[in-house]
Formats: sequence, structure tokens, C-alpha cells
Amino acid sequence: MFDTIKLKYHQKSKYIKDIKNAPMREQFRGFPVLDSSFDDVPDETCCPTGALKYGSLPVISEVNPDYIKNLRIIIDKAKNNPNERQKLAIGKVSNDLALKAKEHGFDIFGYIHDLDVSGVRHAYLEHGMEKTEIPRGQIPITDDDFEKIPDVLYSYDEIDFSGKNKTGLDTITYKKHMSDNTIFYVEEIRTGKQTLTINTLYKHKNTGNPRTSVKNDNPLSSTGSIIISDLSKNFNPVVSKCEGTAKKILSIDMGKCTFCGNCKCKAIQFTNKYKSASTSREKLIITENTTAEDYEKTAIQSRKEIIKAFSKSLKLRQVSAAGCNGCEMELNACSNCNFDMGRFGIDFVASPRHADGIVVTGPVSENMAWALEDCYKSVPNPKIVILAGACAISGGVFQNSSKLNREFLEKYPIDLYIPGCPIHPLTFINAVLSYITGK
Amino acid sequence: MNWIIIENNEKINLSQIPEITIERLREDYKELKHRVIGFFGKNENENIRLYVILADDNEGKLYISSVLFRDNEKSYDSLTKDFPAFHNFEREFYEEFGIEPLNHPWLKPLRQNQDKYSFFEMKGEDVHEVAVGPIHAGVIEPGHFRFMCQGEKVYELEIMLGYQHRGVEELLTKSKANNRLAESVCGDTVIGHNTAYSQVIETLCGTSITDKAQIIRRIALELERIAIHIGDMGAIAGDMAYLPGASIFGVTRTLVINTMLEISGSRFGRGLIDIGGVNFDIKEEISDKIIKMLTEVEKTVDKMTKVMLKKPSCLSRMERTGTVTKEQAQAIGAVGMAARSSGVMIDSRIDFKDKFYKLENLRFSALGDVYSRFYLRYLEIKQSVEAVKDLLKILKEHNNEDLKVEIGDLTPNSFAISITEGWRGEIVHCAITDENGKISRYKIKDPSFNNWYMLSLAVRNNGISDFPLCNKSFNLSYCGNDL
Ligand code: SF4
Ligand code: SF4
Repeated sequence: MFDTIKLKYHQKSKYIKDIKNAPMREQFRGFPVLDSSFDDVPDETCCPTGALKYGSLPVISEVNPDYIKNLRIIIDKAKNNPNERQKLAIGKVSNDLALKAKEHGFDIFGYIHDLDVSGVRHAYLEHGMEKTEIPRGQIPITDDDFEKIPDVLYSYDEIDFSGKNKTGLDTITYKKHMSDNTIFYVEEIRTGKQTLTINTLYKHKNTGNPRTSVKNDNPLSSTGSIIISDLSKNFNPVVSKCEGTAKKILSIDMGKCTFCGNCKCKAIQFTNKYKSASTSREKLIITENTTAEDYEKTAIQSRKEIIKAFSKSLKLRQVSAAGCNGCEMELNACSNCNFDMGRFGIDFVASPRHADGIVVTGPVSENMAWALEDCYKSVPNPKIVILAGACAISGGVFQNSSKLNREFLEKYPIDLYIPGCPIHPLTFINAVLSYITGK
Repeated sequence: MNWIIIENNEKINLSQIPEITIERLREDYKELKHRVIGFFGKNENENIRLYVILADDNEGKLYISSVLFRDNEKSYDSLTKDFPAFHNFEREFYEEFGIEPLNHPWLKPLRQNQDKYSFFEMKGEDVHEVAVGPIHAGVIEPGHFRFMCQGEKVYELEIMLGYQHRGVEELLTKSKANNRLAESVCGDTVIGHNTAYSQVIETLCGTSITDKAQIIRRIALELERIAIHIGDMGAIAGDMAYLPGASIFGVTRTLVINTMLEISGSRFGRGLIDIGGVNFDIKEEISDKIIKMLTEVEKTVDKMTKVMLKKPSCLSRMERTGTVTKEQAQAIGAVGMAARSSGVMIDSRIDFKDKFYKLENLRFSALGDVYSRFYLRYLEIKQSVEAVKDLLKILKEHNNEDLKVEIGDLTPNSFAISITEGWRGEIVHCAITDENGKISRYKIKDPSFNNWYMLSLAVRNNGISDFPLCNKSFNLSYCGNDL
């Protein structure tokens, strides 16, 4: 008996009381800090997962696949019922654009590009008629030209952030040389509602010499699978590459990174910061401008409904789908006496029927795809999805395997991304905690 | 010569591997009485070559040979019906190459087509079936278990795996060095698999790494064994609802893996080992820390085990639960810690020559029940603690050596094999290169591949409520089996 009491005491002394500021050993490889001014940037091939990039920034384009389909409705309204207000989402603001905008002093992370009836009407009135356009050296726009807007927005050649419209809102102008030897201009205004709304569109013939610099190797049509979206729902990310940025950018995609330290050098350092999770897939891409402090402040954006529903208790069903058992072991460790996640009301439960959401680990093999989906469907609404580990977020070290089926992850909205290979219990607990409490 | 005899971590030219018939193999296997540790195919033009590797545990030698199946040969007479140890190997070979072992007593899917398989059925009064999985109640990997029970008693447990199949072997042939992938073959045996992988590639490149790196690898391997064994003892205690055990072993394990973090920057030692050596040194200061930590850990484990083994409630759950006899274990080709607790004393650290280890087989009465597996873990922790202390001592003598050496190119047309004793048992990695010096076939055998059937045997005639306890006492790997 005496021994048992002593052991209990011993167990108590190992308990981490303040989980939010828990100390971490300095050897831990956590949040990376990048600085390419040191010229020892390692070769991309040293990275086993393709997380390290030195060149163009990986862009996660999240584009509305129904854009073209629904475009005609908006155009029709603009011509016949201009007083009706209707909006069409074009897609989510790319990481690349948001970073550029940040350099010019405005934050458009998480914004959405959209097109509304008044913008289309404006474009037609201003730039749709031959008698006004031809003297200006421009070509009148047609219905088909609106189809090209996503292409211009996601793979523009030049961009100008300096404009302001009549009412003082910021405007962004994109310019793109098209293959039919015309130049397109698209103007957007930054509205207060986290959107960039198309203001106008015009084009003219490219009279200058044919362009010598080759850009836009990767037009939008080649971004591959494009994902469902409507404005009310979350977008699902598709990672695609966008070539053509002149300046080389050093970046690490924490969604792929195994934190193995292969790339460690003066230019790439790993801090022992463990709060690396985010609610946005894009944010996981770390560039030289990202500091750990800034990241921690903005990475997890909770929602009112989530806080209301789950802040006191969150029961999770874990689904292990073809990982390596590393993340599972760390998730188990979350409930041990050191971390004791249960004290915050966060627990793993046996049945999806008792759960408020699922935690997926592993890259999702063909053999597990149906079970994962079944499990998700069995969880009653409202529910959340958490991806834990590089495997779940991007396929990690298994991303090139032919035995995977990641459809599920593309089909349903993801709430929280937790990087690591494996994830650290502190990363997991802190991420979930700040997501459900909003703090 | 029907067999070429080599040592662990040795490379041979493909042309040196003899070719025999299946009948010859059957007779030799009977005569030699060695253990089968490798049995896998490889495409060779239109034909398929089956490589067979046997281990002679007494002499520490490996016997290698091959059988050629020509284009039109689509079946052979099964070996499993005579030697049950082949059962999974033949299933795997059939699944991958479509060559059928005729009269195989139980040719069921191993990694694919789980839904097309019809399970055994039992009929009669009071008979019922319990199906669990692939998603289990806890935070563990997926697998499907089907119990055939009468009342509370389990008559037969059928295990269906393959849900974790993600094509690791295929991915490993794609690049020359991918230690990060090797670590993820099985995330609880990071060091074990990564060591085996690195050794195979180093052997194929003809590189010999420094003694210092060898010693550090072994220290990490033993630390991994200590950590996982402690964690498993905690999990066994947890499944008996003996919570002090679960908590104390749990926090004690944290001490070990956090020391691993101090060595390598990862709690499981990821990023520590690379082909050519290791990435992190164990300096004097860390060495002292390890010794201090181990002393504390050993003391706690000692105490907790003693307390636990005095509790009648614990003993009655563990003793004579989930028994696998020595004969059964031997027949199905069980390996590693699970086999040792049934009295089959095979341990590749001892059986195969290794100049860094000074280990001896443990003496204890192995009864093959949960108690034995629990107690053996306890003994192995103590053994490994001593081993780490020893290794740290000899590490000092190699202070000035490099951590890593340059590796050369892979030798073309070669075959290499490496065996490492992970905490579960022997991990076998084999690699074959083609004429351009690229890896054309990579084969992994995790100890779980042999041992899953042990679990089926263990739960026979036990109460179904003892299943979780039996399962934890083996703690087999799903991903290591499914690859
Ligand atoms: S630490 Fe991340 S980015 Fe660096 S090499 Fe490893 S996986 Fe790639
Ligand atoms: S992310 Fe890494 S540790 Fe987690 S399951 Fe995948 S490979 Fe294993």
C-alpha cells in the first residue's frame, strides 16, 4: 500500500499543469524558421516528401468548379434584372496572392474572389460597346470573356495593388497576356465582407512585340481536380503548383514535412515551438515572412458555432487509415498522466455515434476508404474533421503510393490540420483546445 | 550445392544463388530443420523466381536458394500442409504473383480483397459470432477480427488484415535512400526497421560504417525496446483495469522517449539513423543523462512490477490466460519476444554474430501465457538497461570516429539481407538490385507477419472478454504486416 501511494505521488509530479505554456526540450524539431539570405539553401531533393521548395511558392488554389456553369445566370441577371443581387464565388484567395498583398499592407488571408451582378453590369456598360471601346484602343468584351476571369486571377502576369475606387476601397488590378494575343485586365475591390469582388473587366490587343518571357506554364485548366464549393461551406484544398514567379521563394509546407531535419542549415532552422497546427491548409506553408509568434496568433481561427457547441466537451472518434502507428501512439499519449487531455473535456470514444467528430491519421489506403467514410457518416451533426499528421494532410512519406484513395479528404470539409510525423501530443491538445475555445 | 550459406549483412551476386525444385526445397527443409525467414517472388522476364531464405539459429548462418517458375507454371504443391510455418508466406506469394500453392489448407487473402472472403462459420445451439473492425474501439490500427463463440467462450478467432496496405515495398524500390520511409514501415519500431533498411543498403553499396555509428544505433534500438515494453506493460495493466499500473508505466515510458528526443529531436528516434551512419552523437553529457534516467526507470519498473505481481486480482487475470505452447509456437514459425515467452529461444542479437552485444538468453519458466509475456518484458527491460550501459561504456572508446561515412553506389545484380532484432522480434529486410544498380525488389518481413496467428491460437478456449488482454500482451503490428 505504501508503495502504491508513493508511486501515485511520483505520477503526480510528472503531470503537465499548464498545457498552453508547457516547456519543450530544445532538441525538438518544431516550427521552422527560414531565411534564404544565407546562401546555403539545400537542394530540394534532400527532402523526402517535397515539403521543401525553393523557387515558386506552392499554391493551394481552391476554385469553384461550378463557376462556368452558373456564370450565365449572373450575366443574364446583369442584362435583364440588374436590381437583383446575386453573387457567384470564383474561388479562394491563394496563399501567393495573400502574401503579396501583405507586402503592400493589406491582409486578405481567407478572402474569397467573387463576381456579382453589379460588377458584370458595370463591365458591360463601361467596356461592352464598340463605339466607346474602339477609340480607346480596346476590344469590347463578350460573355465568353467572363469565363476567363479565374485564369487571370490565379495566373496573372502582373498585379497592381495601388488603386483605390471612388469610395476609397482598395482595388487590385490583374493583367494577363492571353494566348489569342490580347491583354486582359481584371479589377477587384476589397469589400468589408472578406471578399474581393470583381469590379470591371476590359481587354485590348497586344500591340507590342510578342512577349519574350514565358509565363503561365500552368494555366488554371491544368490544376487538375477542382473542388466543390459554395460560399457558405468551407472550401477543400487542392494543392497545385503555379510556375512563373520570378523571385525565388523558400518555403516549407508543414502539411508534408516530417520534421526530419534533413534540410537543417543556416537558412532553415527548426525552433522547439510546437504550436504548428492551423485551420487553413494554406497557412501550413511557411515562408521567410512567417514568424512563429505571428503564426501562432492567426493560425487557428475558430467559429462561433464551434465554440458554442464544443467548448466544454469534445468527444472524438479516431480513424487510423494506413499510417504507421506513430501518430496513433502519440494520440494515445495525449490521454496518459503526463498530458491528461481528458481534463479539458476532450476524449476519444469508441463509437462514432457518441462522437462530435473524427480524427484521421494515415494517408488513407484503398482498403480503408469505405470504412473511413462510413465512420464519418455515422457521426451525428454537427461534426468536425481533424487531420493528424503529415500522412493524413498530404500523404506524407506515402504520397506517391498507388495504393491510396484520398477521395474522402477531398469530399468533406476539414476543420483542423495538425502537422508532424508523428504529431506531438502538445501540438494536438493545444490545437484542439484553441479551436474549441477560440482562445 | 542446393543452398548458398551466408552471414547476416552479407551481399552476394545473383548468379551465386542456386536454383532448386520445389520438391528439393520440401526435402531440404525437412532435413535441415532451419527456420524460414524469407519466401518471396520476383519477376524475371516472363518467369517468376521464388527466393527462399532459411535461418540456422544455432550457427548463425543464412541459407539461400531459389525456385524458378516458368511462364506456364501456375501452381505447385503447397508446403504449408507439411510445414505450417509457411502459411503466410505462401499466401503472400500467391497474392502477389498468382502462383497457387495447391492443397494449401487455408488460402485466404492477406492484404487485398478482404470483402470477397467468406469467413469460417460455426453452427449449433448457443453459437454466435462477434465481428470487430476494421475500426476498433480504441486508438489503434485497423484490422478485422471475427470470433466464433459459444456463450462466453471463443472457439476460433479469424483475423483479417490488409487495411493498412500502402505499398511500402514498392515505394522503397523507387529511390536509393529513403530512411524516412523506412522509419514509417512501422512507427513503433522506427529504429528497428530503419537499422535493417540502412544495413541492407550499406551492404549493397559495400560501405562499412564506423563502430561509433553502430554502437549508437544499438543504444537507440535498446532504448526503443525499453520504451515500448514499458508502454506495453502499462497497456496490459490498463486492460486488466489495474489503473495504477497503467498510469505509472505510462509516465515511466515518457521518461525514456523524452530522452530519445534529447538525443535525436524526435520522441521515437526519427531522423537519428541514415544510410552511412547516424545524424546525432551521444556526448558525455547525454550519456550521463541516459544512465541516470535508466536507473530511475529501472527502479520504478521494479517497484511497480513487484506491486502488481503481488495482487491476486492481477495474477488471476494473467496466469493461464491466452496460452500458446512451445510446440504450437514452433510449428507456426513464431519469432521474437512472443516466441520466447512460449519457450522458443530465438534472438537474432544472440544467434547471429554481433561484436557489440554481450547478451545471453534469459532464463525463466516460459509458459506461453499472458503472465509469461508480461514477465518476459520485465526481464528484457532489465537486460536492455544493462546492455545500454555496456554500450555507453564502449562508445567512449570510439569517441574520435565519424558519425557518418560517404556511401558508394549500389552494386548491380546483387542480393543482400539484413536481420535486426527489434523489440517484437527479428526484422528481415532483403534487397535485390538489377543490372543498372537500381533496387528492383525490396522485401520486408516484420515479426508480426509470423506472429499474428499466435493470437488466434492464444484466444482459443478463453473467455471473449480476455481478448483485449491477450491482444495487448502480443501487441502485434498491423502496418508491419500489411506493409
Ligand atoms: S524537415 Fe521537412 S522540409 Fe526539411 S527535409 Fe525533412 S521533410 Fe523536408
Ligand atoms: S504522419 Fe508520420 S508518424 Fe504519422 S502515421 Fe504518417 S508516417 Fe506515421
